[in-house]
Amino acid sequence: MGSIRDYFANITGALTTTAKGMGVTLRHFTSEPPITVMYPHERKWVPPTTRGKHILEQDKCIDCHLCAKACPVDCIEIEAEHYGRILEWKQFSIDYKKCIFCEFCIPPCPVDCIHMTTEYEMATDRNDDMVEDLLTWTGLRPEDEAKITGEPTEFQKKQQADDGGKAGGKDKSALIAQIKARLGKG
Amino acid sequence: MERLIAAFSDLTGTEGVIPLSLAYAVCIGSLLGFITVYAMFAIWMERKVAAHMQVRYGPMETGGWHGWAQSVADALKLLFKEDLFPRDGNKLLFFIAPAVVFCGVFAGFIAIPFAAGIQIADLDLGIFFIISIAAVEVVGVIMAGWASNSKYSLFGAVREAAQVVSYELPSATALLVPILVVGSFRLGDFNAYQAQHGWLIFSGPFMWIAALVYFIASLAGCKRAPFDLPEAESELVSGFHTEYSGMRFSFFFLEEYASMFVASILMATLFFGGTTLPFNLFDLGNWGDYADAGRLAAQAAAANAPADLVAQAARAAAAVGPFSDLGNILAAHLGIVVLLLKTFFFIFVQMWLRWTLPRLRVDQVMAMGYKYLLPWGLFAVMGTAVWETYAA
Amino acid sequence: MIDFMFMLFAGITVLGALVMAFHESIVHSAFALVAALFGVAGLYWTLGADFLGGLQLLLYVGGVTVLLLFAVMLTTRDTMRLSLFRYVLMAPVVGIAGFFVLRAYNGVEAAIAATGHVPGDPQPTTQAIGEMFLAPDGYLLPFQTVAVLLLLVLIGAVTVARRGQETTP
Repeated sequence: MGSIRDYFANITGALTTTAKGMGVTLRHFTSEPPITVMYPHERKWVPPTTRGKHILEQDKCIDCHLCAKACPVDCIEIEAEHYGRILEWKQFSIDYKKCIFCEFCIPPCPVDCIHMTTEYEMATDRNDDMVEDLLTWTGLRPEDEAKITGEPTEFQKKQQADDGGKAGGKDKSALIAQIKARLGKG
Repeated sequence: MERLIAAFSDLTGTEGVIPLSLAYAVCIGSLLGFITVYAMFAIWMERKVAAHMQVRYGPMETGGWHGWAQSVADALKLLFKEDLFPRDGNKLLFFIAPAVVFCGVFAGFIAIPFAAGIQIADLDLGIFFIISIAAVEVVGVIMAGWASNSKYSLFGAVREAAQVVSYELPSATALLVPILVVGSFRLGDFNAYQAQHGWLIFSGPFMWIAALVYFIASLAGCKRAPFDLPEAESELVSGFHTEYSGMRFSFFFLEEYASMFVASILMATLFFGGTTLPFNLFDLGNWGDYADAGRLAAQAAAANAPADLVAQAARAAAAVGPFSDLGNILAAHLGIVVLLLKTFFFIFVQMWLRWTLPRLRVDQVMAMGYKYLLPWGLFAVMGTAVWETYAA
Repeated sequence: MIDFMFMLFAGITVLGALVMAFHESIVHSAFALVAALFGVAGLYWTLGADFLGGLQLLLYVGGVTVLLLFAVMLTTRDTMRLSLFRYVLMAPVVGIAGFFVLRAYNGVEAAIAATGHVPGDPQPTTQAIGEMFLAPDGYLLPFQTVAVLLLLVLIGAVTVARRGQETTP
C-alpha cells in the first residue's frame, strides 16, 4: 500500500530526477559537440603497430615458404621457379577472406621482407578482389635474366668501363693471397 | 471554411453540394498533404534531436545539408518494400486496421483552428470531439493486433489499448480545467479568451497542474516517451504492427506523429495562447473579430431577436477571416507561424523526454495513470471550480 | 445534404448490424458492432444531437467496444461459430413491433413537438444539456442520483476485484 509520505516522495522524486535528466540531455544538445568521427570524410588515428594489409619486398624474398607455413589459416600462396639463386616469380598472394591478421607470418621471415601496413580499408563487393597479389613484378626482371645468362648488366658494363672490373678500383689480388695463406689453402 | 465554400460557389456558379464538396476536397487534401510533409519533417527532427542529445550526428548524407532528405528516402524505400501478409491472418481486418488508426487521428484535425476562420469546421463540440475521436484509434490497434495472427501482436495490442484507454481519463480531466475557465468547448473561443485575458496558463494556480497532467497523459496516449511499451515491445518482442511492412507500417508511424502534433497543438491552444503572443501584441490570428461575431451570434440566437441584429450577426460572421484587408492577412499568417512555433516547441519537449527517460513497466504505467495523474487532475478541476466561483 | 448524410450513416448502421448479427466469426461481429455504433453516432449528429454523438463515440466506440473486443478476443476459439438463422424472422418482427409500441406512447411525440426543434436546422446542444442537468427545476436530482449510483458501482467493482487478491500474499 505505501504511505502518504511515500506518495509525495514519489512525485517529487520523479519530477526532480526527470528535470536532472532533461538538464543533462539539454546540455548534450546545446553545448557538447558531437564526438562522431565522420567516417568517409575523416578517419580515426590508428597506432602504427596496427596489423593491416601486407607488403612484400620482392627482391629480398628467397621463396622459403616459412610465412606460408606459419599462417594458421593457410592463406598465403607462393609460387616461384628457381634458377640457382635467381627467382622467376609466379605468385605471392594472400587471401584476405581467410587472413585473420594475426601477424604470425612476419617474424619467421629470415630476410625480413614481408611487413604489415596499417591499411585496413579493404571492402569490396566481389569475392575475387579479396585475393591480393603482393608481387611488384612477375616473371624475370631484366637484371635477373642477365644474371642467369651471364651477360653483364648495364651497371656491370659501366663498372668494366670505369675500373676494369675491380670494385672501388683497388687491386684485390694481394688480399686474396693473404686470406688463402691464413686458411692454409683449404 | 464558409469563405471557401462561398468562393467556390462564386467560381462554379452553383449552390449546394458542388462548392461544398470542392471546398472540403481542397481543405482535406491540403491537410493531408500538410500532415505527410510534417510527419517526414518530424521524423527527421526526431533523429537529429535524438542524435545531438546523444552527442552524435544524425542523418548527414542524404540530400546534403544535415541529411534533410533522409525521410524522403525512407518513404520511398517503404513504398518499394514487399507487402507482406501473415499466412493465417484475417485479410479484411489486416487491411482496414492502419486506415482506422490513421483516420481516428486525422479526424481530430478537423476541429483545430490555425487562425480565426482558418479551420475546417468550427465545431461547437470542438475539444470534446477531438477527445472522442482519439478513442476510435484504440479499436484500430486492437484490429491490427488480432489480424496479425501472432500472440505477440495480440498482447502488444491489448496492452497498448489498456494504456491508451486508461490515460484518456486523466487527459480529459485535465482538459476540463481550461474548459471550466473559458466556458465553452469551441477551440476558437479558447483563442479569443486568451486574446482578451492573457494566456490561460497564468490564470489560476491549478493551470500548471492541469497542463502537466495533460502533457504527461498525452504522451501516454501517443504511445511516446517513457510510455512506449507498445513500441518497445516491438523492438524486444513484437507489437501490434509487427506483421506490417512497407506503406502499411508507415501508416502507424504517421498516426503516431499526427497524434503528437494534435497533442502539442492542443497544449499550445488551450494553455499557452494558441496564435496569440504574450500580451496579445498585434492581435495575431484576428480573434477580436471572431469574439465579436460570436457575441453577436449568441445575441441573435436568443428568441425573438430583431431582424437587423440577426443580419448584423450574419455580416460579422462572414467578416471573420484573413481576407478583409492586408493587416488581417498578415495577422492571420503570423498567428499561424506563432502557433506552429509553439507546437513544434512542445513536440521538441516530447522528443526531449523520449531520449532522456527510460521506459516504464506496464504496472508502473497503470499506477501512474490511475494513482497519480487522475487524482491530481480531479484536484485541479475541483480547485479551478472553487477558484472560478469565488476568486475570479 | 443532411438527408444524404443521414442515409449514409443509416446505411452504415444497418450494414454493421446485419454483419454483426449474421456473420459466423464472432470477432468480425465485434468489429461490425464498432461500425454500427459509429453509424449511430453519425445518426445522432445528423439529427442535431451533437453532444450525444460525441458521447456515443467516446463511451461506446472508445470504451464498451474495446471491453467487448478484449472479452471476445482473449476468450474465443476459432471454432466458436454462431448460427443465428433461427432468429432471422423473429428479430425484425420484434424490432418493428417495439417501434410501434414506442410510437403509441403519446408522451414521446408531444415532447418532441414541445422543443420547437426544426429538423433541418441543428443547433448546438451542449450548453442546453448542461443547463438542464444543473437546473434545480431541471434534471439536477436525477443527475446527482446517477452520479452517486456510479460511485457505488465503482466502489463495488473495486471491492469485488480486490476480494480475489486477499488470498495472494
